[in-house]
Amino acid sequence: MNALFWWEPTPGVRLGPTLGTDDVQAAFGATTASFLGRGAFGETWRIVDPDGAVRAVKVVLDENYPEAYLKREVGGLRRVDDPRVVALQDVLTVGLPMGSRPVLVFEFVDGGDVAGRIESQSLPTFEETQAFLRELLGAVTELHAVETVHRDIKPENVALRGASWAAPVLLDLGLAKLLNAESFTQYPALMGTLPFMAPEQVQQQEARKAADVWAVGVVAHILLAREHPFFDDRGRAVLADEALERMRKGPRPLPDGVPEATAAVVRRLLSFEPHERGSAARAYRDLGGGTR
Amino acid sequence: MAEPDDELPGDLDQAGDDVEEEQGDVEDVDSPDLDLVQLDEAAAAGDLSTAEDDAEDLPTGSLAPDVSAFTVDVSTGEVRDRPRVTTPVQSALEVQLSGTMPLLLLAKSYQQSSQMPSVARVATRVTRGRVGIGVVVRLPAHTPAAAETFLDRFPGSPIRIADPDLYTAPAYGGPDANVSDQKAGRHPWLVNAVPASAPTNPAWVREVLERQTDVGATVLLSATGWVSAANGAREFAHALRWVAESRRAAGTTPMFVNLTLDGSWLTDPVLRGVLLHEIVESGERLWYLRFRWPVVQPRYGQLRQRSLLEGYRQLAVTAALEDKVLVLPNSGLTGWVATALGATGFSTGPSWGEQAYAAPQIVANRPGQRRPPPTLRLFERTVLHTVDHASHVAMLGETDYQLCQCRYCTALGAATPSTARWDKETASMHYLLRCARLTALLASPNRRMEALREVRRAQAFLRATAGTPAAPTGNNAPAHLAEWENLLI
Repeated sequence: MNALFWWEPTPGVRLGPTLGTDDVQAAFGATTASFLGRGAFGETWRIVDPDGAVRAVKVVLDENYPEAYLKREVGGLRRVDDPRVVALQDVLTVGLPMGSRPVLVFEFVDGGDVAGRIESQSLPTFEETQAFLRELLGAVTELHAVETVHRDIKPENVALRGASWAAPVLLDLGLAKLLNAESFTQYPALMGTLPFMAPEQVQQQEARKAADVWAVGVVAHILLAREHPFFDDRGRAVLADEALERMRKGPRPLPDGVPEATAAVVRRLLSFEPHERGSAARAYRDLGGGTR
Repeated sequence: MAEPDDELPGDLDQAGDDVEEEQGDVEDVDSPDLDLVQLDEAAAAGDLSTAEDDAEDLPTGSLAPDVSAFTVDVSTGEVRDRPRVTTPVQSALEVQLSGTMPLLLLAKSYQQSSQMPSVARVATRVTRGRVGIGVVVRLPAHTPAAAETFLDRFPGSPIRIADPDLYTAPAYGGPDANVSDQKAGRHPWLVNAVPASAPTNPAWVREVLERQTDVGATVLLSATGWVSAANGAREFAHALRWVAESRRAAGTTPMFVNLTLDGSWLTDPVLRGVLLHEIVESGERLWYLRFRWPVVQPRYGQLRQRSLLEGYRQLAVTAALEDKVLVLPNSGLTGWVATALGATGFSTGPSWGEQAYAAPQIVANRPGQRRPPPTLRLFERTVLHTVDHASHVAMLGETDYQLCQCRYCTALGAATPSTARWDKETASMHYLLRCARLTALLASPNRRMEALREVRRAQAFLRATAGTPAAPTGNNAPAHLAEWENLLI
């Protein structure tokens, strides 16, 4: 694998919208529309309906976007009913200047995402991080309980409801997979976002629940230490072999003052061997989240 | 057809003279239940002492004292450990499967099982309901009617399992694959099994589960068998497809993931990692994992292989941390130690085959050689080991010796040097009741420490008797205690 592993708190290139605001407003009959972000296959907008309701719409622009991925995301979201996982409200096809396109309509989580907070250096205290970690693990526990694995947990995919660190909301299940279904991903394949990939994903093996647990650990480590547990900036990027070697050696130490319960959980989540990470449910319990 | 010799405690084999364990077909002939009337008749004829025995057969709910729980210091005659009067009750099935109480599953042997219902009742009472006392019958070894009759005799045990013993199905290629024509005739599903790598067959899975419920099983075992260690990850994945199919068929009926594996799944780091990862990942909460050990010497001894024991430790701890209910069938007191470390329970039975799933030791008989006389054995609570009668007698007079006063030891005359009333089935029932008492120790917030205390008490006895005629030697020496202490400490 030729990929380079690095991480920086600010995105290198911020992609702008391809759709026009007027087009979006017209397509949804919205009174206002504002661009939220753009991914590999489409973009997400915030719209306000005439009745004042605020929603987030994810417009799939890529004509080649696999229908199976779309169904998978819809399926994953519909299996979970938890405020810590974004609520899917509708699935539509809308007319846009380039033709009809599928759209997922979500609740709008007002409060920004973790990536934005990292970029603006508006970071949580250790105690806030512990609450954030517990609730994010709670979200993952709910997802895993319905045998669904997210496969792309990263700061961009975690919103903060009401801008509260204690109320994370898991977004974007575009890569989510129902574990007991026959896979349509042919392995070896690289699925996910490089700096948050678990060792088994880097080795192009199937991402299972343990890969989500790892990614939660990476996010938590970044919030606590203000640095990635394994990688440096783009100028010091490493190849996959070196990345794996670093993962095998274990994460960088957490700063002094991190509550021991939090530190122990984060260290465990970043265990190289998948089984040593334990389940999200166990970590959730360990942080006082109770039994599902 | 005669029943095979079941090699119970008190059976023929002696150190170095083990014969290959035969577990062929048996007729469904249990010796008649030794009920109260028979006990009375035997006592009247002077064949059996029933001293202090009557209280144990009072009906469920009796407030009578449990004499079998008394411990008598033979040097002073003082009665110690006088139990509180209790009402014997088994918790509901959902409580027993919640992982909050230790489980002891009594596994029926081919022979010598007629008193097992009585043991279950007594065990319930003496453990004051703190241990889930369940029962297991091997389905292929019986006609469905006989299996049903046996399970029916345990109305007070919520956990009743009819094990399909699928690891013996030839399709799985396990080392103990063996389905005779008679078994195949009785249980055609056993020979209709297909390799785990084949597509799942919902109809066959449903049949395997239905045959269990037909005979009265209250908890199902998934339609899965031997999982090969070769290409272990792939084989395990295949097995889990059949588990998923079993889950679909079982619906909401409680079901254990039922796998039989070579001991290398515990000792090999890669295989163990696969196993532990699946337990962590799986949404299934109940696991019934049988591991095949190498030859254990002596028979009726305990597993001492450190790597295997360490594998059990990691498995048990992982299960506990992940809130999984792990039951270790046919693991005897190794299962007890694992339960102290985090497993929920284990199964054992009167015979060696139920106490340990181990490779048989094959010793050829010389032509014309006569079998040696039976070895009379007894599980000694004092040293946590099965010893022969001579060693038992040698220990009797020691100050710290703990004489068991259970109904079975009383019937055996175990407090005397005499072998006149010795009976291997009764000795086996004592063993099962003692297992229940040991398991009750684990119904504590700190079960590991309770087990460690018991092990150290046994070690203290050995130290005190070292160099004296009372010291157990050879096969009677509990060489496993140091390994157990290492695990528990």
